[in-house]
Amino acid sequence: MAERSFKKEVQILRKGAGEELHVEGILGVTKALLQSGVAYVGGYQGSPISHLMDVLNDAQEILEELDVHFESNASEATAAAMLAASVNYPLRGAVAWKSTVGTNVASDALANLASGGVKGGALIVVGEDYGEGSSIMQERSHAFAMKSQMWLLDPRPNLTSITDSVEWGFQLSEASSTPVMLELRIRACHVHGSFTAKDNIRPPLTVKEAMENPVRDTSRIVLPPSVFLHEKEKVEDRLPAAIDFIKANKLNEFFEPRNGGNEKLGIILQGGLYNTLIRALNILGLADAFGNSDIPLYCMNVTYPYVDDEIIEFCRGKDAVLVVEEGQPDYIEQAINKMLRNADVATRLHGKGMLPVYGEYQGQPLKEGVEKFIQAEAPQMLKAEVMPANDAGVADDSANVSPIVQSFDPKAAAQDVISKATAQPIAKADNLIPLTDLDELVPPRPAGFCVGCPERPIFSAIKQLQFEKGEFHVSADIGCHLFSILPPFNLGNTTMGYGLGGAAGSAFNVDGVRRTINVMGDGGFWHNGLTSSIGSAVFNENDNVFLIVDNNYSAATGGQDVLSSKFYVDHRSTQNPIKKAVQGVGAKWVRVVDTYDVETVKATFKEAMETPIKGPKIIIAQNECMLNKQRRVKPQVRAAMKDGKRVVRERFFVDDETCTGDHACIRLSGCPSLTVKENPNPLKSDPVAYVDNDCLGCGLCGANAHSAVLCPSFVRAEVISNPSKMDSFLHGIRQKVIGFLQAKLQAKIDKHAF
Amino acid sequence: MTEKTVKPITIAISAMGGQGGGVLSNWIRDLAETNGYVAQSTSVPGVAQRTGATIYYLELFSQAAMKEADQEPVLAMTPVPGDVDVLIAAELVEAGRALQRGFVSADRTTLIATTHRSYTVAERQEKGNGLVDGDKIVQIAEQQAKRLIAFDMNQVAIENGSVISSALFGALAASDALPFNKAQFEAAIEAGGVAVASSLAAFNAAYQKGREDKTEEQKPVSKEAFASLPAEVASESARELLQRVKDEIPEVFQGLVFEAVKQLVDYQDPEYAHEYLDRLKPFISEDSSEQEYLLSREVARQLALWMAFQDTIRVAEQKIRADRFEKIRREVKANDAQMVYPVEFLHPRVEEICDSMPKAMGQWALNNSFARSCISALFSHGRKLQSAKLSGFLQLYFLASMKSGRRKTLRYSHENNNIEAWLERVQQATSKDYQTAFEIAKCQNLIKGYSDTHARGYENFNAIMAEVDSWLASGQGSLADRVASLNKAALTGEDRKAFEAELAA
Repeated sequence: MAERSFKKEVQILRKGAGEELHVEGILGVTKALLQSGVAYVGGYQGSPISHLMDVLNDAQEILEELDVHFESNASEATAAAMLAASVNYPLRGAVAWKSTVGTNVASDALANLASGGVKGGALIVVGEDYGEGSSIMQERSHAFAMKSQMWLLDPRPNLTSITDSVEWGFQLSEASSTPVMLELRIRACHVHGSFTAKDNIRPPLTVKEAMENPVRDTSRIVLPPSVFLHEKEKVEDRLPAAIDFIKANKLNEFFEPRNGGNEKLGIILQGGLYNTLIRALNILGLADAFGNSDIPLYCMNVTYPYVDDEIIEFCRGKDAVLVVEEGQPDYIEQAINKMLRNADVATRLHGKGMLPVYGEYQGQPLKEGVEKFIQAEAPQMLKAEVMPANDAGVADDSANVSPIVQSFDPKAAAQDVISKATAQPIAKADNLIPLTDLDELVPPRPAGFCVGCPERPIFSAIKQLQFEKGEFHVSADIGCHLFSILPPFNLGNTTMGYGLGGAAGSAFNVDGVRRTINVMGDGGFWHNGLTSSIGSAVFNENDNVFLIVDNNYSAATGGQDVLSSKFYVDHRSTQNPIKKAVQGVGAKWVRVVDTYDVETVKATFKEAMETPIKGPKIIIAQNECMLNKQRRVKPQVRAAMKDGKRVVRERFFVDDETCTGDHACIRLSGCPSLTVKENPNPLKSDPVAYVDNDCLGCGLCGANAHSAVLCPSFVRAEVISNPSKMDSFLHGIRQKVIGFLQAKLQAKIDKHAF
Repeated sequence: MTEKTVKPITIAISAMGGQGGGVLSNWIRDLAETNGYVAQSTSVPGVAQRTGATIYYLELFSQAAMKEADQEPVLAMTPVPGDVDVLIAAELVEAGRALQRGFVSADRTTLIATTHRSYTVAERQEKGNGLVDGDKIVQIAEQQAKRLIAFDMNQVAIENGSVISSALFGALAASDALPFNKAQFEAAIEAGGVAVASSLAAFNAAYQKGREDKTEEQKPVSKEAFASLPAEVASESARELLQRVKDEIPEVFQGLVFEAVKQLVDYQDPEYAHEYLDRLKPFISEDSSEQEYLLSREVARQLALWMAFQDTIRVAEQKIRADRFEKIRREVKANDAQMVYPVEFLHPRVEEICDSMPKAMGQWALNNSFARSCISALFSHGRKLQSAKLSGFLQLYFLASMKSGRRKTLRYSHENNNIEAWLERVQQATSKDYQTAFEIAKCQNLIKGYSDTHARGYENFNAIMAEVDSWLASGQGSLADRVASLNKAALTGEDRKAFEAELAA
């Protein structure tokens, strides 16, 4: 059960030809897959394509109607390997994952797939997680396309282009027997726009039909001597076929300049950057809102392979061309330089010398880059009206223009941008507060654990144990638990990849020193951690502590189910405990703890640190992801309340008079709902702790108050709705006695009343 | 904005993950699409964005202009500094972040910002007061935006049983920054179909407030704003104290001292408050209005807080008061038909138990290993006390009724000695250097928290006092800066590292 349900939205997938669909990019891609007669789909979740997997999962019924097989692959490697179904059979298959992390994992299978080539179209949708909002190392998927000879699509980011590219991606794949990657940037995955639907197509050959008629061709198997044949085919057959197809179908687009434009200049860009580039040109007065530009554009909707002829022809006769290519290294710019050199075309080529070498190409850097390009090559063009009034100082920059690669300082660039964008009209200039004051007023706000998250207490416990035992080396993993590296926990030294928390700590395998803690989530565990971290630790008699956070879902990617999910899930086998799995690979010291029981978690870690028993000490810390739990439980509670059933709701409360405002509780929790408020005592100036109304009553505040001996101000309020007769009876007696004693107390106070 | 515009309307939403920015985006998109515009929205809802700062972005484009040009517009994916028409901030610091990133420009941006705060971990985890000055962000917003609508939209949402997106949508409607009327906005909420009634209520309330066309009044939150002295009080003992405050305390801080007196009577008895005034007296006589009574004012504040040290008796007393139970009911929003039972999380240790005993007995128990281990066996685990059920209430009631014997407890004797020593130091320092005396007085703020935090606080306090003592004995010049920086270091970071470094400096 994923965090977000698409049960309603997936009905859109049934829409037929001619209907206008208003959807998110990822849903558009799914629809386009069905319109292309795809026979099987799969992948592994991860932002920005998590929703693609969720949509497919929620669309099981529709997929079954069309005889499309959907597989929740265990990892990206599994997903890539699944594309093997397209090697012998004309089956169209598509998989999706987060890139480049997923592509890294999938590389082994991908390279094998690309070697033998495919008969049916094989499409890999990669969510390019680069730039703002990214959660991974910054790399380019482009390199994978180059090294394995796969084709890379980077369509313009509007829904029509994106959905069209799915369809011709399959065709390109089949025409050139090569797997094709469709790259979608973060915001393109989540862009909400519209496109016109076509009818869904039942796959001409279904997976079932293929199974019933096995086909075998040893020349497609990656083993000598075929491998040398594959290498030859790649260069001599598949590449030319792909280039022919791209040219014939005009997959790359040439945009002629509008009237009065400058034919002597040109811009070559990746398709995915088209909209942002047009906006940059628009702001500079070089294009209108419809994309009619003064400068000719060559838009590469296919960024690999390069169609040399098209590029050379575009450049020929021009004074200068700017290459707009996001990320580094600048593979495309390098390739174009070589093409022009070989073709003896003298056009000046600009690129990373004018644009930032690295980082996301948002509107501002593109605007500045294009401006430098025009300043250097045709400054008269900028005499035209520049749209925003506050862009006055630009001409001064001309002196800085230089075609060599400059180092790019994002902070300085940002300052520059802001000072220009927020320049004040002179009239308002009195008593202005300088904007730099904001540096102190705007603290960072990184993502963190949710309210009531069951993972937080584990790190509270570890932190408390550190007070006692000194600092630990903590090898972290990928998942929500990685938020432990942030304040207030400050736990975690490295993160080396999904399911590799344990593996990344494997060098520290020495007896008799303070043991390390190696973290992993259930998502990472089932992705590969069982073997690469736990199996390896057992085999190597690693003596350290291994924490497996078992929250019933692959929570960080959006709460998808995993093998050990606690609840029954249609179409999948769940309820396979992690404990059995680690014991199955030979782990001896295994403990299962309830995460919210901080005292026990702390004691278990302590025991794991001290026990003389050899081999990995595995602690499985269990409790359900609170986001998912709320989605599951809320409707039940609401229904029970409505039916008049007795319901007890719990939440925490801090006595603001008792709280001393030292915030030790916050330093052990960081829960968004455990916050602060003004001190009610006018003699005190420090804010006091305060639990806001988002509190879910998870119990961590109380558990910490006990295990870390915090101040006595924490209270759990139990709110009883629809109380029973017994409740009412007891309540009456209590109220009487307590009321009487409280009146006595009040009388004493009244004696000295003010 | 005319229908003929050939530029998109650009809208950025600066928010925290999970605040409903997506809902707001959907409303704006529906609003535009049903009223003659095409709309595109983007976001970065990486699941990892939970609770973190994020930006939603929308562009709206007139269909009439499209028809005229017979072309589709090209809409951008991210906001460009200087190119944003409307910036909506769902939290005050996020408004600041948008300002910082240049998304608010004086020539075109309408800024709709809620003034409520959701404090960051960085602010909350400080030992003292780590909160940023939100009022200043509002001032900067006012100077940078073409038009600013700022008020506590979260409060408006809460008052109407809704969430902030509805209130932001209402303020957006009130701003007239988009070419749509109020009925069209309301229709978008109705079309959304989720919690329509409460959303509309919050929308309308925010709309009204936004129309008032004033940024919210700056709240006059001066910490020194104590109530003025009452003309009359209810009891004889209170009257005596009021009279003493009037007679002995300079007018500028009579309010403060009167508040302190009231708290000390509540804490112990009128006699205790008299003792407080007695202790204060010498400081006032040596202070002057030229110094604005800075020192005696600080001593008055810190002394009151120290004298009302929190022992188990005080905690028990606070926990069983009728108004506290009412407060909890209010806070958890219980209705009349619901019952509320508080469960207190208490963890008294040997130290607290012995502290509550008569001095001699407490000392004996602390130092006698057998007694100590017996007590620690009894109190090794935290307790959950049901303070609104009889057994729990009676335990606390019994503890609270030990108040009359407080002066005999070990804790009292301990704190009282320390208070006297501290006052003595301030007193001595006054004749040497006024500013140093002031800083010494302030150091009381280090003694707070419980258990380890409290112990570390005392440890730091004592370390500073050791330096003070040697300065008093033979030091030259002023020690004020030194004491101030040590005090600051003691409140920095979680462990004692910063303090130890400063101490060694």
